[in-house]
Amino acid sequence: MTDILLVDDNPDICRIYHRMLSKMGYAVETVESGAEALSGLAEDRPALVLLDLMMEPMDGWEVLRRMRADDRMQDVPVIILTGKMLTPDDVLRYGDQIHGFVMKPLRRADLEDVVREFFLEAEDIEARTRNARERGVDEATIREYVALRHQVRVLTEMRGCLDRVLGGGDPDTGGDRPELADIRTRLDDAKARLGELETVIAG
Amino acid sequence: MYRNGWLRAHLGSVGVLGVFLLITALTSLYSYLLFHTTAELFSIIIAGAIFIIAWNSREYLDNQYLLFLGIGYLFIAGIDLVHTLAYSGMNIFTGYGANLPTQLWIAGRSLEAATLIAAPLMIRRRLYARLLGVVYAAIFALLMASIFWWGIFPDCYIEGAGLTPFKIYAEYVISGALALSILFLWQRREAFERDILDLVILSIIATIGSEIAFTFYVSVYGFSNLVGHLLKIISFALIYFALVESGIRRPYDLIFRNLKQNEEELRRSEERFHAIIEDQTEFICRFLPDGTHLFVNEAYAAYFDMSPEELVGRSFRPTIHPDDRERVRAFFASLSPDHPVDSIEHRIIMPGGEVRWQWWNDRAIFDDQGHLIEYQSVGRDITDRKQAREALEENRRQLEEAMDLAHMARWEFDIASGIFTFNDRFYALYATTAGREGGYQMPAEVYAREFVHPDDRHVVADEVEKARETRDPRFMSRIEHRIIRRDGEVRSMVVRTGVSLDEAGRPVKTHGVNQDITERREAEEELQREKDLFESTFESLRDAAFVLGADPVVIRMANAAAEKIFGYSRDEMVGRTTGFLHVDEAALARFHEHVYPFLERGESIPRFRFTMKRKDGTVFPTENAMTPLYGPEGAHTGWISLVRDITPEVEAERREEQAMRQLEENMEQLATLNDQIRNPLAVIVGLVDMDCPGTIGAVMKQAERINDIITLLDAGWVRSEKTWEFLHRHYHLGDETPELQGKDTEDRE
Repeated sequence: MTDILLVDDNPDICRIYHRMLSKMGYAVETVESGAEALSGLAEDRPALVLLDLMMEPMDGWEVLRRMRADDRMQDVPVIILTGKMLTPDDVLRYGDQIHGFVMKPLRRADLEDVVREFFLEAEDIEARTRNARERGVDEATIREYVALRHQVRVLTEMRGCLDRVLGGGDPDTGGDRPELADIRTRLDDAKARLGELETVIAG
Repeated sequence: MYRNGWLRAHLGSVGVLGVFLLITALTSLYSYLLFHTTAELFSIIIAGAIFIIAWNSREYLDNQYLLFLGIGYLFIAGIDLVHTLAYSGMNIFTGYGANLPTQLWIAGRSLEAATLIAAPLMIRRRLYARLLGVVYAAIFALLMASIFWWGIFPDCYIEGAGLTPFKIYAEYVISGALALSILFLWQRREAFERDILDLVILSIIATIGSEIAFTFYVSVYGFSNLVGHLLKIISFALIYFALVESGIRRPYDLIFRNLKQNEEELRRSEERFHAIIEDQTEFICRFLPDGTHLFVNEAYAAYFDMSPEELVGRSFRPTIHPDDRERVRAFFASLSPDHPVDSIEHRIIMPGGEVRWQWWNDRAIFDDQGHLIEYQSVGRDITDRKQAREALEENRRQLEEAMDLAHMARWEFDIASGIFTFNDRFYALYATTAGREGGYQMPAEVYAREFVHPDDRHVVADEVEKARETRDPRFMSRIEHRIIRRDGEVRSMVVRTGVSLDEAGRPVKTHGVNQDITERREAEEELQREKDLFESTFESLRDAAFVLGADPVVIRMANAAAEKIFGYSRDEMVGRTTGFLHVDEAALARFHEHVYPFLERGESIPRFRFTMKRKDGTVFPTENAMTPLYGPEGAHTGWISLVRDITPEVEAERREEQAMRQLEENMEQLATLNDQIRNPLAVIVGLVDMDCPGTIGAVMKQAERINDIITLLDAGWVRSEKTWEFLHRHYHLGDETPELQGKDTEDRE
């Protein structure tokens, strides 16, 4: 069983990150194209996909779109691992479809933190939802809660990333940069809703 | 015939008279005195009867002759009575002998003769009967006095000598007088009916016979005396008959005859009356309060398509129009003995449903106690008249309305007196009233001073002068001038004037109509301003502008920009269909295929791009705005077409698109470049971190420096990406703009 599927068209990167993740104890598979990734996902469902964006001929966003359109893989968690800077539009468009975002280059410790935090988060979510289910909270609410947990984290990461790139401003509020206003609004809405659901899930 | 008629009528009387005469004559066999007394008394009785009849029937007598005789005979009878009483053997007047009765006889006969002569003379005169009675009484008294007291009456009989010559001559004179009286009577015979005349003449002849007989007698008891007396009776009887005939029988006959004539006349009158009624085209009827008809004429019955027999005796009420019923009921209720006749107009509904108007003159007939007995009505159908009147009224009303709507009013002007005659409508047009202007008449100079705008007074004066001088009966002029109304407002008037000429062809009156055209004038000016504005706007447009017909699509107007853009002069374009502005026939067809569906759906046509052709053959891009024009009834009448030469825009778009594409490429390359730099960097960092952990710090430091540089590039790219997106969203930069795609220019502004 594969824990992590790494998708990157650069074989060196695949090799290095495979070593790093393997050393962490995960079963890691690497593929060097979107097509391979999709065919692999169709056969084996990993716990996490690390997805590069700039690939030829099929880029990472396309792979993500196809995954989300496919019943067999639409709920497989995806963390974007890329050297290309995101645009605010990318954040708005894909922010609710991914479970993490991280920019290359990154040190081994950074990668380990990203993956570990994801699984810890996943476990936490699992624990809370299990508890909620036992208490009879309905499935739709639980699904919405899970999605919002990821969304809030991802949007926060992405906005932080854009903030770092664009410089200045208050990273918590989105600052005064108008181009990030939509992201801030989305994030605020998600946080507010998540706050409401936390009380339901926590009982 | 009449004689036979008379004889038949009086056969009994004649018989009685004959019998009486016989008996009287026979009495002479016993005693001549008895005979004489009987005969005289009989004639006296007859004379009295004559008087009574004449006196009492005097009002019915055709002429006064018989009345005269009647009165005269009363006094003659008086003398005869005395004569009878004085007769020999009566021994009443003793000491007179036979002379006295003879004198009295002569007196009586003289009076008789005088009466018979005088009577014809009185036929034509007014007879004062009482006065005549007094005259006779006086004569009677004189005669009596001359015989009894004065003794001056000539002797008529001398004992032993017999009749005196006086007596004999007197008899002759009397006979002559009687004959003369016949002559008089004859001359006036037309005053008598023939049988009356005959009776009177026979009576006189009998009297003459009687007188002749008396001239013969020797003894008062002699035979001739007997004949004379009998003839006298006959004579009196004949007068009696004449009187009875003309004073009693005839008047009654006359009355009955008149009655009969009246009856006959009445019958004929009724027939004529009936014929008149039946010949009337007016309806005539009589009916009881319950509606039962007592009489209807043909016209009335025919009106309801019935016969009079069907209506008379039946209750028949024409159906009164519901809207008129209450009024008709009140009308009949209003008729009273004090107000029995009135007329009313109302509608009825004919048996076929047709509504017709009728006029009725109704008379209510009441009995002595004031109870209503019946109605008598005369009426006619006035539908046509009513309709004509309504049509006339409608015409008049429409004319009034038209004049109101057109702000028009009539006037007249008397040339000799120089006075205008106006009316309320005219004054209303001038914001004044007859009360305020002191009546409907106004001298011309007052009108000019009070109402005509000072600057236009000469116009009015010139026109009045022209009308005054014309000899053309069809003279008609039209001028426009301003007036100042009573409320101070200046208005524009058009004045149309005609003239009336006298027999000599000189104008005596002008008459005309004033029309307030202020609003029209203002509207015309406004229209002109709008037209000017449209033309100047049309002309000043930078786009080529055309006014086109609907079918065929002919150019009616083109502006200067059209000349400039297409290269044709206006003369070359106007009047031609638009095909020559298009690249080819196919392009024209495409143009129409694009435009007409919008027209058919009634939708406005969005601006669209279309390639067109200049005079020099060059093809150029245009942006077209087509707006359909519609007539008053909604029919499509043409187009307003605006054509913009968008060659510069298209060129700019092309350059812009090119630039954007380049920009996009550059950005894509930048993004890719960043990734491409970070990937090896990631490999280096990873390898060092894995395999040479001791050096990782120094390597990482360098790697981060590189990454910071790339991040700077990232920032530029992110911002560019955002800008690009903005340009895309709001300006469509980099969008394809295909031909014939509707294009909302507002989105571009």
